[in-house]
Amino acid sequence: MNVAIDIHELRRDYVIRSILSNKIKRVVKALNGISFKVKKGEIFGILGPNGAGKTTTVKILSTLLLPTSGTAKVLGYDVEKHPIEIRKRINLVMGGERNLYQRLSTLENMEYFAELYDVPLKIRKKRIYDLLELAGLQEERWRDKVETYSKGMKQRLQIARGLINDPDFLFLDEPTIGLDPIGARELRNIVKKLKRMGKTIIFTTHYMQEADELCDRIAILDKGRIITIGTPTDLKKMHTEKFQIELILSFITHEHIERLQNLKYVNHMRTKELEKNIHLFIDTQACSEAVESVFNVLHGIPIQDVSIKKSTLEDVYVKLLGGEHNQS
Amino acid sequence: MRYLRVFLAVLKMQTKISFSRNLFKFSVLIMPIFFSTLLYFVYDKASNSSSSYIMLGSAVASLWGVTCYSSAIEIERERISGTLESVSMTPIGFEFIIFSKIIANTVIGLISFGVTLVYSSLILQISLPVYSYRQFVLWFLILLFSFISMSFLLATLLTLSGNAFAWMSTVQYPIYFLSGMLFPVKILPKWVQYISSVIPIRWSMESLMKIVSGMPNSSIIPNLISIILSLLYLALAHYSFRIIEIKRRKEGTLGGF
Ligand SMILES: Nc1ncnc2c1ncn2[C@@H]1O[C@H](COP(=O)(O)OP(=O)(O)OP(=O)(O)O)[C@@H](O)[C@H]1O
Ligand SMILES: [Mg+2]
Repeated sequence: MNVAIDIHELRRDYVIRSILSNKIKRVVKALNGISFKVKKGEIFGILGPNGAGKTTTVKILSTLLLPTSGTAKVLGYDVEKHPIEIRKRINLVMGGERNLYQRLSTLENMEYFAELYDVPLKIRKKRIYDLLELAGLQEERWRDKVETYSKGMKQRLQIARGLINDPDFLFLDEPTIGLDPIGARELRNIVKKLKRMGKTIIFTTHYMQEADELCDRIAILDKGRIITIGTPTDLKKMHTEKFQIELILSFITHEHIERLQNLKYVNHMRTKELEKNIHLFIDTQACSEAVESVFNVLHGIPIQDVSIKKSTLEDVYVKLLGGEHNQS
Repeated sequence: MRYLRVFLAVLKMQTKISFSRNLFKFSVLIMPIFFSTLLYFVYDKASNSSSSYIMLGSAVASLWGVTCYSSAIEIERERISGTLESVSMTPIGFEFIIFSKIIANTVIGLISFGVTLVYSSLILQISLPVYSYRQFVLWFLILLFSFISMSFLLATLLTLSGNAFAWMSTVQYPIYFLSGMLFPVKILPKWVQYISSVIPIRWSMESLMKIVSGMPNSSIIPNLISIILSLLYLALAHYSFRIIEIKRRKEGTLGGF
């Protein structure tokens, strides 16, 4: 089987105790029984609001935390029983500036972790150079202390460090957080390159476009539960109308509006008056058919502008989570 | 071989990081001088035993200061900076890395030891009538072993306590009094002496002090006690590490913030 990750009914509670009496103050149910599988070579995205349980999932899979109940297998190994086997084959990159030795240089950080991962001496130097190159860290800064780096440089170094053991499986927890648009795009390109190299990647993010662009499949998590799971295209199909057509007209009659609303391919329509023009918003699943029939109805009315918008993953996300969260 | 290479990498890294801190440079290079100067004025310089405290006692005390301080604090530092997570994800295992760190700190602490010896012999003009250098070196190694085992256990327990910074000084200072580094254990109240007797350093110090006072000392009993206690401490530390590992993964408290 080509399953890289197999999670079944995974639960994780955090017990918060009072410092003085050690009594249990609160139990946070971070994961409430999640199950999913990730195939080898896949890029799998975990989305969800703050506190949804994304980092907890990633930490359990990377052997930093134990499940409270349920099972999690990485590359066939159980996280509870065979952490060492898993550790040899995976690595984790956390977004942000932590997880590096600030008082060491890039090269020193890389050499240290290369030793801990037992990277063969013969290929060590070349691998470090290649990875730093891949991560796009300028060579003239390799000997400077990490504490003198910008956020983006630290993040690049983290990526390079995360690849030092040539892992089959890479976990990225919000890898683009705090990067400038170009930096974030470069990082996405690195992720794509890694996929081409055959690596399996699980990553979490708050940026929908990023998930849409990179992920083969996505799970949306909320309050420790999986709300939905599927390819970005599937999710968009399942949870929202596919297209929104916006037309700008100088005028329109009630009769026209009625006829438009009764068209077969128009699922929903809304009008709005803006700066003396009429804006029509039409939701549809069949774009070309809808456009054709709408234009037929509007024959004779001057159309000033037309735009067609494909619904985005963000629309799905907001639809699934938005309302509920605005209330709470 | 693999373990030796990891140890060397840890030693290199630990030395670089430690010496990039000014406070650390101070405590390694300057503190020992304070120590021996202080003892120089406290003790009557005439007798053999006082010169052994001024020179060897303060050297050992400085060594203890460096080893204990950095061993306890280093884990906490790594926890705060998040590197503890990255390091404990490596297949070599968190325990061996911490153990290496502690040996590394002891090796770095030897610089302090050396500074004290040089300072007290050149500036304070103190000389030690060492009975046998071969015995001295051998027993000094046993002392280092007791340092390493104690620091390892302390580092583990402090990590378990989750509040290393607060506990560190509470543990570091009593050792100065209890272990016979700065004055003989015999002058302590009887009940305190009982506490002393479970500290391996105390037994090693007893033997070493005799040799550097020019006395023949062929009794290996105190050294044997020191070794046995040290082994016990190591076993205890190893066991605590099991608990730490489980606690860390189960409670999620030792990982991040
Ligand atoms: N060490 C801990 N002790 C207690 N509770 C914790 C701990 N770590 C996380 N939690 C709680 O578990 C829940 C899930 O946290 P988690 O970090 O997995 O969320 P997340 O999806 O990564 O959120 P974010 O988008 O903010 O990073 C939250 O309610 C959080 O408060
Ligand atoms: Mg998170």
